[in-house]
Amino acid sequence: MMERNTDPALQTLEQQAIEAQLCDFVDGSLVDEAAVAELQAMIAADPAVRAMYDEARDARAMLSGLGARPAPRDFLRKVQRKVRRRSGGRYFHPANVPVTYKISVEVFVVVAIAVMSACWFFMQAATPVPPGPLIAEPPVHAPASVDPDLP
Amino acid sequence: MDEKRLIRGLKRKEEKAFSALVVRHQGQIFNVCYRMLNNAAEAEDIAQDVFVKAFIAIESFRGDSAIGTWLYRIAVNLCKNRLKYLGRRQYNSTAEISGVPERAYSESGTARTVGEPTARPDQALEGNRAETRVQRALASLDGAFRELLVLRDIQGLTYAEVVHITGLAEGTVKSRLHRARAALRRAYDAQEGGS
Repeated sequence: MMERNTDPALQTLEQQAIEAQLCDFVDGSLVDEAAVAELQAMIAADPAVRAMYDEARDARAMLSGLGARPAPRDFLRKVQRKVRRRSGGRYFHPANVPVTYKISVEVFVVVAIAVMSACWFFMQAATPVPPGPLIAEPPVHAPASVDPDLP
Repeated sequence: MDEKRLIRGLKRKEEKAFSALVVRHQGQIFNVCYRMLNNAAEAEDIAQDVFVKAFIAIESFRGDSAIGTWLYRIAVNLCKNRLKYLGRRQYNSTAEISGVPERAYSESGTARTVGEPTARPDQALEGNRAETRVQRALASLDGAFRELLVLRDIQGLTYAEVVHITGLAEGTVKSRLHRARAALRRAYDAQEGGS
């Protein structure tokens, strides 16, 4: 068992060390077997340490049973409203559609029109001419000979 | 949305990223505020301020902890400031217990585990009273004690996270947490004696 110091400063440190060990012990996170055995011996032998241990264990059990309080349903909306108000409407204002969004829509429309026009052009160009009756070449007429008898 | 993308979005002040942050962490932050302040209206107000402050100060987030831990830190600091302010105004936080507890307690004050048979109405009522006493006992403690109990025993954070949030040494956290637990047990007994 740990021997008690007479120096008040050391006593305080010793007390803090015991408290920290008890805290770990109550949490089940004290892994050093020698420390566990020493603490168990102290709890068994010293009623004051036993009382400290019992209090801590009970308190931990009580607190771990407190359920989680859910945030109010409209919490997000209220926070957004608060940001909007505090920023003077700079952020999260319904009218403030981001510029990037506006640009992307305009670009999309222009590109869509260009693509559709290109498609139409290529479709027109690729369309084969429907077969039809061959058009005979117009006969080549020889130039009329000049009649020397004519006036 | 993973945390890196979330933080990038927050730094660009994107509404979508901010909404994701709030939805992801609102429960934990509200619960911490409620347990610290013991008042639903105050807790809601401070929890909103936590997210507003996070939105404004996201540039100062260095990423040396999870963003949830950073939010806890903001929440605890705002709650402690609020408690100081309310203390100066003689606000009695033990006076207000609002809402219905989510988990029933046995008469000894320990919580029943999930899956146990449902309590009779009289047992449920007694359980609710026990939770109210626990919450009142918690509210009667000093803010520094309350902070550790809420972070470690209610929220279940690791010691590393508690150390990061409080800025205390691990040994100090454990030693102080032990005293806080003892103080809570005594305050609970005092509630029981007084009721």
